[in-house]
This record gives sequence, C-alpha cells and structure tokens, in this order.
Amino acid sequence: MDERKPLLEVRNLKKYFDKSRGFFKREKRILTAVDGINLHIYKGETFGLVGESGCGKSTTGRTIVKLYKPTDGEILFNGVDLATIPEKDMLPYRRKIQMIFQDPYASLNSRMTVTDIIGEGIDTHKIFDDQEDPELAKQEKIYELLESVGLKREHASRYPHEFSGGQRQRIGIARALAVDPELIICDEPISALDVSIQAQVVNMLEDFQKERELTYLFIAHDLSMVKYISDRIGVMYIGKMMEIATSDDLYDKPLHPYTKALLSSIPVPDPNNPNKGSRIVLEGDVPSPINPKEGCRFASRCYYARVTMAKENYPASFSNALIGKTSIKTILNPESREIIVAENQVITDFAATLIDELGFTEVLVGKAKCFTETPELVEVRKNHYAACHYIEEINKDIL
Amino acid sequence: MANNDFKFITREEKLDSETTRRSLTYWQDVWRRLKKNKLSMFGLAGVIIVILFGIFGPFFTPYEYSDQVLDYSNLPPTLEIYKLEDEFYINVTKEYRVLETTSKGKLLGRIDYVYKDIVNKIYYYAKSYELTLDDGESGNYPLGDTSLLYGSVYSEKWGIAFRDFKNEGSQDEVELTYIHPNSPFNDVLMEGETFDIHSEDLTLTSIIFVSDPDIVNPVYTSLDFDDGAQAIIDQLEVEEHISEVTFGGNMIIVNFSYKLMDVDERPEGYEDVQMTVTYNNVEAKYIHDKVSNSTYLWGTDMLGRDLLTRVMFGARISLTVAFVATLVNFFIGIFYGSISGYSGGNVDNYMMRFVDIINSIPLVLYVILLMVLLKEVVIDVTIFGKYFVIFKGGAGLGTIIIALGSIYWVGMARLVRGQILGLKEQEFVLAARTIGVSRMKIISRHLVPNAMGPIIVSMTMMIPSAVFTEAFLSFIGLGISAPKASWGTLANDALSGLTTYPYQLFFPSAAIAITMLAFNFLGDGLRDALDPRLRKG
Repeated sequence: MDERKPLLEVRNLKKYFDKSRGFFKREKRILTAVDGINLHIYKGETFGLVGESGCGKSTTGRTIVKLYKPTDGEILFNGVDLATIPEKDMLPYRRKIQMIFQDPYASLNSRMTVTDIIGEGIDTHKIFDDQEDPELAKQEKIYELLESVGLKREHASRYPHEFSGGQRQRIGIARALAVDPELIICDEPISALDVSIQAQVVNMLEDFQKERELTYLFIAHDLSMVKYISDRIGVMYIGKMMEIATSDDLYDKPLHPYTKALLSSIPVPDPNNPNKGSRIVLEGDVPSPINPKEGCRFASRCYYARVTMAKENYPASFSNALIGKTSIKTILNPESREIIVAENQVITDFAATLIDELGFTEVLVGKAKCFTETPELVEVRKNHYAACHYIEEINKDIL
Repeated sequence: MANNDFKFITREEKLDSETTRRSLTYWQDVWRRLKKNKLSMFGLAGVIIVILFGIFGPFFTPYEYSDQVLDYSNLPPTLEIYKLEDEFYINVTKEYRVLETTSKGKLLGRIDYVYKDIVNKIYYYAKSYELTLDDGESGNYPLGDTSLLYGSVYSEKWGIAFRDFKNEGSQDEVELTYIHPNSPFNDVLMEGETFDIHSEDLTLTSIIFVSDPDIVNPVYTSLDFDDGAQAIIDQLEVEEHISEVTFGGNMIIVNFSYKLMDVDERPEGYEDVQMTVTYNNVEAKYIHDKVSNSTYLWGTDMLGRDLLTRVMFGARISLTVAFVATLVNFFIGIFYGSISGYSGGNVDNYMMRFVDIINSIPLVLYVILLMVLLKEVVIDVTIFGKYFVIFKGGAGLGTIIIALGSIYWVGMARLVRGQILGLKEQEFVLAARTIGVSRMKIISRHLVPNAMGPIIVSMTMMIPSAVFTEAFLSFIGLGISAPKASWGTLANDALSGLTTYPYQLFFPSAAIAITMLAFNFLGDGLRDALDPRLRKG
C-alpha cells in the first residue's frame, strides 16, 4: 500500500435495495447493487471506476456522496466516516464532495437560469456571506466560473435548454466547482456527449485538477477514456470490485479474467494488429444482482471457472442433449432449476443424467470454489489488487 | 483584394459588436410569452370579464336578485308582440297572460283576465270595464291587479265590491276589493280589508253580482245584507236592478284553440295559425313583430325575477366557491403531495392511505356531517364598531367552501405526489442534494416548479368541477338556498322547464361554459408560459 494518505477511503461499502414483492413483502428480494467494496483515492489523483452497465458504479458514486444511505461500511473522507454522520450534519462535507452527472439534459433544472443553478451552492453554503456585498461577489464568482469553463458572461441569464449538450455539461461542471470542492465524483460525465466534445470536457477536467488540486472519482464505461484520464482504475462487476491497479498496470497486465475479457473488447484501430481475433467473448447475460448466490460473481460467465463444454470431453449422450437444444445459451443461468457444482472431471455422467432423464435444460459444470466461496480482493502485486481464487494459476506466465 | 487589406481587431472591438438582449426576470418572460399566445389572452380576457361581470354587474341593473314580479314570470328575452292599434301592443305569454308592451319591447303592465273559457280555449281580457248602474249613472273603471269583477259582488248602494267569502262557523269574512270613488266609505275603508259579514258597523242593503251577461252564464252568489243577517251563498238570481257591465270593444279575445287542432281540422284560412288575437272586432292571425325584451334583457325566471341580475349574482357565488376551493386545494394539495412524494417509503405510504380514507367518504355524507358539526358555529368580528359575520354554519356558502376545500385537495395531492415521485430521481434533484440544499428548498425550487404544468391544468379543471359540485350540493338542498342563486342552482331550476323556457337554462350554462373555456385556455397558456423549455426567441 502506498504511504500517501488517502483522501477518500471506502471500506466494505454495501448498498442493498429492498425489492421484495408480494403481500407484506413475503417474497424477499434484495438487490445488492454494491456489495462490500473497498477502494481508496489519494489526494490529487484520478481514480477510474469501470464496469458493465448495472454493475453498481453509479450507485457507488452516489452512495459515497450519500445520495443513498449506505447499508453497511465506512466512507472515510479525510479520516471522517461520512456513513455515520446524520444528514443534518452533512452540510460542511457536502461542500467538499461534489458530483458531475451523466445526462447534461436531466442534470440541470430547466426552470432555473444558469445564474441560479451555479449560485445555488454558493447560497446554500453562504460562501460570500462575510463579504460586503454577497450578491455582487456571487455574481462575479459565477461570471468567473462561466468563463473558466469556456462560456460567456451573458450566458448567465439564460435557461439550460438554450445550450448544447457540451455547454450544459460545462454548466454542470461550473456548478460543482462553485463550492470549491476537494473531491469530485464524475458519474459518466462524457458518455452522453459527442466524441469531439468529450475530449474538450476531459481536458478541461484535467486542467481544473491541476489548477485546483482536485481529486476525481471518474466513473465510466469507455475504457480508453478511463485509461487516458485515470491514475488508478477499479474494475467492478455486479457490485463487487474485481481488480484495482494503476492505469498502465491494468491495461498492460490485467490479472483478473473479467478484466482480461473487458480489455480484449476494446477495438483496436489497426487491421494488422497481431492480437486481432484474440478477443475473449463472454457468453450469456450479466446475472441479476437480486439475491446473488455465494461465490465469485463472475464465475457464471468466467471462461476459467467454467469447464469448457467441448464435445470430446463428454459422453455422446450429454453433448447430443446440448446440441439438440438450440436455445441453450450457456451453462449457467441463475434462474435455472438447479446448479450443480463439481470439479472438472466428476460431473459428466451425472450431468448427462440430469439432462436426459430429469429434463434440466442447463447444468453448470465448473470449479467448485468459484461457486461456493467469495474471493477477497488481495494485493497480488504492488498496488495491484484482484479478487480471484485462481489468480496465480491463471497468470502463471505474468506473475 | 490584397491580404493586407484585412487587419485583426482587438478583443475589445470584438466584444463591442456583440449585442445582448436585456435579460428578463422569470415572470417578465412568462408574461411576454403569455401575451404571444392569442388563445390564452382570449382566456385571460374572458376570466377578467366574468369576474367584472360578477362584481360590478349587479350595480347596473335596476333589479335585485330576489325581486319577484309574478305577473312577469317566465318571460323570454325575445317577445312576440301583436299590434292591436297604434301604440297598443300586447304579448301573449306561454301561460296566456296578456302583457301590454311598447313596440320596442318595454313592458307596460298586465291586462287581466275577464273570463277564461277553458272548454273552447278562448280567453277574454280587458283593461277596463264600463259599469252602468240602475240610476243610469255609468263610468269606466280600470281593472286592477286583482279583478274587481271576476268573482266579486258589488254593492250598488255603497259603491263597494267584495269577494272571497268564507263561511266557516261564525267567521264569515269578505274581502273588500273595490271602492267606488263616490262611495261613502271612500275615506274610511281600504281595498284589501276584510270584514266580518256580521259586522254591525256595515249594514249593506243589497249586494249584486256584476259580470258580463253576454259571455258568462252566471253561477255566482248574490248576497243581501239588508238587516245584517247571514249571507246566503246560492245560485245567482239576477236582481231586478242589474247594473250593466260591458267590456265591449275593449275586450281582447285570445283564441288559441287552433294550436290544439290538427292542421286539417282547422278552418279555412287558419291552416298555419296558432292563435288569434281579436280586439275591437279586428282579428290578428300573426304576430306583428319580434322584439327583444327591453325590460328584462335575459328574460325572467318562474317567479318573475330578472335572469340577468341573477346570473350576475350567481357569478359571485360560483366564482367565490370555485376560487376559494381551488386555492385551498392548490396549497394543501401541493404541500401534502410534495412532502409525501419526496419523503417516499413508509411516510408516503401512510400519507397516501390517509388520502384514500378521505377519498372514500362520499362527498354528500361528508357535507351533511360537516353541516351538523358547523351548525352552531358563527365567527364574527367587530372592526371599528362595525359588526361583520365572517362565517356562519349550516347550509350555505361557508360550509360548501369548507367542504370542497377540505376534500378536493386529495386529487391534487395525488397528482403532485406522482409528479414528485417521477422528478425526485432526476439528476438535477440529485445535484441539489449533493450541494446540500435543504428538503424544503428542493421541493419549492426544483420539484414543484417542474410539476407546475400538470398542476395548473388540473387547477383549471378543478374550477368548473367546483362550480358543478356546488350546484349539485345546492340542488340537494345542502348549499346555497333561495332566493340566493349560483349558476348551478339557476341551471337546475331551469331544467324542469327546459323545452318551454330554454333560455332559462341557456344563460347560466353559457356562463359556466364560457368560464370553463376561459380558464382552460388561460391554464393551457400558463402551463406553456411557465415552462422555459418551450421558450422561443
């Protein structure tokens, strides 16, 4: 671990949503959006958080600013645990942590002028109340912010709908900067923008980081953009942190099978690339985060945990059964009637029986540990953390 | 053109040429855009006119909303007049009352019945009669509001006429209906007085029946008061000394028997005639003219009350109920709904169940209970020595407003809650929460303004709905009571005579419709004007 002191440290953060159904909520359904993640962000750095849609990136960001009440865990900001602070005492910390939102069209109140939008934070935190003329000071600050994000003074009296998406996002950034925060959580701030605008906005964010010593938690699913902006990157999958490493480390030497699959999906704009065709295609859909089963979250789609269903490895009856059912997508489906967990060699006859005689449509075959034990995030190399039982086995050549 | 013909301008110069519009405040902008919307300006004008109509209208009519003139009941706004002679026009009402009018439609008075020949459907009317007494004296006497002759007995000797004999026990009474100008009682008796027929002060020597022998087969009673003895009510035996009463050419004869005949039954030349009016032996088959009723511009209702005045007065009550109920709903509904929606979870659950409970109580039951509860409540104040009653319980305006105000808000609360539920997860609300804006400010600055569109539409819908509910409550006797009127009660009153007197329904319902339309147009325009996203230019 780095000897620097982290600005933000998240320990075992959990955010569950109750989606229970039925009369008096008899059918218990817990959506584990964020399930015990750990991360720390040093002052002045950019921490990228990547993952597929619905993996809990945004929920993590929103829980850190306490838009959601954490179910469990600690959010240490400068050593103060925000998770236990009641809402009414949060105001001083609200000024320190700000957020930039994904959708520039939804994140600005269409009934307010730009002045009102940017000035809201200044009013709430009474930043200029000690000044002789708070209104004037506020107006000057707003003009200054507008100019620093590349807008004009006269835009101050306009309404959000009069701006383009990029301009709106700049207003959103100006709003976040208005209260002089230390940490800004950027919740996919560029994914709704035009590619040419994306670069402008990202460069602007970098400039502000240098100028104002800002720390970013940058949530995104655009891997190349995250690589470009982040110092360190965390990879999430269904509420769990899979791997954390420095940006270069992660991209050059990914350790976790999921990260490998994720990175292999980045298109390379080079037809002669030797790695062309080596893309790892994950089969199946992302499993539901409602009432997840024990074990590694990625196990159901992990090409390593799951035994490859090669025809020659199995009795004819089993492979025939699979071939005959074209609707079978892959081995595991959490909604299926049963999951069989076994070490590689044990399953064959039993699985065949299940399919042939009991009418199971899908039978899982895989490494038992992956399905029964949840792997912890451990430091595999210096500043490189991964959560996988077989990390060393997989990465024999690297480690 | 050479390159060096161009030169760079400085930043100041560049900025100089930029012109920016003076920025408007939010409400200035709303007003500017509302003005551009013709339909909503039309609505606004309508709303203002209706309000002015209600507030100031009653000052400009000569009638009170409660003034009754029974002779002029059920008059339409347009009169069909018959010309009888120069400067003598009459209108025959639907009930076959004959009213004298001018050619311009001004009502001059009623001409009374002399006799109704119900069997043949011929009614006789006269303004005056000519009376010839035994001694040869004769004169022309006007028929008053209550006919002197119809059903009266006339004492020739004393020059007074009586009618309404009541013969119950010892209380035999007569009403004095006419005093001849030369009567010895002229100074001591008044028309309309009643007397005990055994009265000793009044010794009548003879009373004779007076009527038109030409047209009436007399069945009236003759009395002899010679010695103050009992009155004898009997078949008339015509006295020796009959006074001759003639109507002669003065009589107006209305024959409406044609109306009830099939066309082929009607005599020749009367195929398309509904009714004839004969005066001075001249028969008028058709109406002379249709003129607007210049005495009662919108006509009168069944009690002869001016409809225009009543519609104006009704505007006051209906609009008061509508505005107060809507405003109360607006504030309670928004307050309750936004707190419920924003809090979410169990708070929302309990608050909405409370709304369900209120909503499940029938309005009528609720109003009745409220009336019982508020029956004795009177809120009054004395300001500068003047006494004002602010609220008085029981059936009436105050209770209706309280009832509507306290029950209508549930709809608004539901609507606002639904809107807020949708809005509170929007990113601009999350942004405000991240900044640390307080709950109340998030609700008032972010959520409610964004929910304003549906709220305003629902409010404009609520105004006519409140007018109707008030009408309904008044109709079942829980609201405004006669002679006060609201548009709803006016419409309800008119409903029974709809086919005969359609105008009585037309005016109040037109007022309701115009108000509703005006509020809807205005609400539509306001919704658009309040939404800066729809701002153009």
